[in-house]
Amino acid sequence: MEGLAHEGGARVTAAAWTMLAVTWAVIVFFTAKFFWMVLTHPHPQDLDDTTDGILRKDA
Amino acid sequence: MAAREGWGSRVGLVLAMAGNAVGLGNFLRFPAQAAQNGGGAFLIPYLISFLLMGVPLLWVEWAIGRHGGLFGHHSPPGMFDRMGRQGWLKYVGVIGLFSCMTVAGYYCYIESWTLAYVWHSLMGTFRTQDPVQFFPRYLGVHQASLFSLPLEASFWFVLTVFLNVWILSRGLAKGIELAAKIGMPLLIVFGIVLAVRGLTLPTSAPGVVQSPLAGLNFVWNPNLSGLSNPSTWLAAAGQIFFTLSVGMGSIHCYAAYVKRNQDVALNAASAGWMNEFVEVLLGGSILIPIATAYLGLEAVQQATAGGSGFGLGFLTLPKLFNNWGWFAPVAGAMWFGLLFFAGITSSLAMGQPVMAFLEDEFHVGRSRAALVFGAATLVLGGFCVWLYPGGAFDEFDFWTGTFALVVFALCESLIFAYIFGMDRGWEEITRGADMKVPLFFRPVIKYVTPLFILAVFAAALVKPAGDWGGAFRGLFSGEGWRLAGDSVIGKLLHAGVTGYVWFDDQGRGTRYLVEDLTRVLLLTLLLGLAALVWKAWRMKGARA
Repeated sequence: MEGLAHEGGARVTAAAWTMLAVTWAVIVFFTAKFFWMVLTHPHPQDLDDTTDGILRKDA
Repeated sequence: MAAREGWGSRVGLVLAMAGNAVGLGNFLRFPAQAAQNGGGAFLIPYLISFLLMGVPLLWVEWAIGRHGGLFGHHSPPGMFDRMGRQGWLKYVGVIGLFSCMTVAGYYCYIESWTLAYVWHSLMGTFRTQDPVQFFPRYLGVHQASLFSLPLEASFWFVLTVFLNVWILSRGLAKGIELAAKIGMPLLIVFGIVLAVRGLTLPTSAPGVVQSPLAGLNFVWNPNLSGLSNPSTWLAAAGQIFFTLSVGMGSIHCYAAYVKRNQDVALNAASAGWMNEFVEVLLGGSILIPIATAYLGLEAVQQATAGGSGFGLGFLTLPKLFNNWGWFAPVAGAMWFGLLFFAGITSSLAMGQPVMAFLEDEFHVGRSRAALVFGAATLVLGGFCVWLYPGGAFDEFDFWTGTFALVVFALCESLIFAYIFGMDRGWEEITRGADMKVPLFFRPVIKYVTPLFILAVFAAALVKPAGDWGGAFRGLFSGEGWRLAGDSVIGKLLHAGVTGYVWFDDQGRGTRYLVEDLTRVLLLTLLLGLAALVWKAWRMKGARA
């Protein structure tokens, strides 16, 4: 395996750490951001133009 | 028409949708795919595919679903019927219904394995029995026959189907949503505990032969030369496609219970990114690091060579947990527990569209619809259980869990952009949105996403034996194109098979008989569902 000094090596290469850190940061950021927006914007209940949301003339 | 059901809360809806996406593949397939396709470099095409194919497709499916729900349709045939004037559109929806029904059959079977393994982990079975011997015995494949009647596996399968039916019969808010609200947080907690425990294993601990960080390095060390290999890009696009549970009709169905002016854009983005969190952060940090610590990197490289961590997850990990002393049963229960939660939140999402079809189009009551779904799952799953050694399970997985999904997604992306129309489609995605959807995604949905899916579809169709680069070189040098046995055309033509016969010299059925019987069953089911749709619309016409 490229980057591992020897069979028992515990080394994670700098490139691997960089990929991991950048990817994790991007994913954590967007997951937290969007979920926070969901938590702070509960669905409004009364925006529909019918009582149960079904457009009856077409149903 | 009775007032339609609805979600209890927005968080519940997003968790249910994320639970639908999060499946066993997040933990068993992703790390192996990443490790075998360029390591950290795999994440570049993976994230690009997520942004250009995954997220747009999520928006498309949510928008189709909410639009169909406005007309009282909560299953794909009715939704697609409302997307244009063409009568054939509803039959495209049949593919989604077909996938939900058939995938649920064999998926519930895998789900039942995880439940059984939770039990056996807690009972300490794997302290005395090697999972490598236990698993085939559990499945009944040790009998060297095409058929098996594994009593224990059948028991857990029936129990799992019963659980699904019970939850589904309780309704959206009290059933599916509650299950997601319990299952998803537990799954994440279990995943974090196992990842932390695995990554912090000291090399001096009993049984440890190598640092788990070597496994982490295996998954993340970027091999940038992989980026020029089409196989890496196809693997990444395929992983994104299958991890998000798109192309099934389940996302459409959940979104159909969202009201007209309620957001779909942010919900879809949130559920999609949550799936990535579970897959990349947790999925990439458990299986391979722990297996590397106890088996060494070389063994793990060999075990994941096929791009799947299934063997490691079911055959190896239960044994390795024995090194964790008193924590072993808990760790085993957590590992298979998180797989179970990942599984059941997905199988519930497959059940709901089938039930919604019966409720909307045939006015069947919810409890009865749940029972019909359970019966269908038992029959189809039972076929997989009893003919597992003959290859029925693999056939189900290939044609319904892989091929049908890609076909459906390709059709829906084209119908959305070119029949429903991008003006209406964009309005549908952005109406009531609680986030600003970048305008950049409009041409992406119209041109790029269908092209991405087309690439995945074409790749599935003519996947070569060996590497893509080598296959193209062979084609241009006049050697021709050698199809892989697991390509769609290769499967149909039985490529690479010698001695294709249904019965052997002694008159006993062969594996090919089971494969072809399974294909006939699936095709019959697809046509049967199409006939049901035809009948439902005929009844509607008679009533109008």
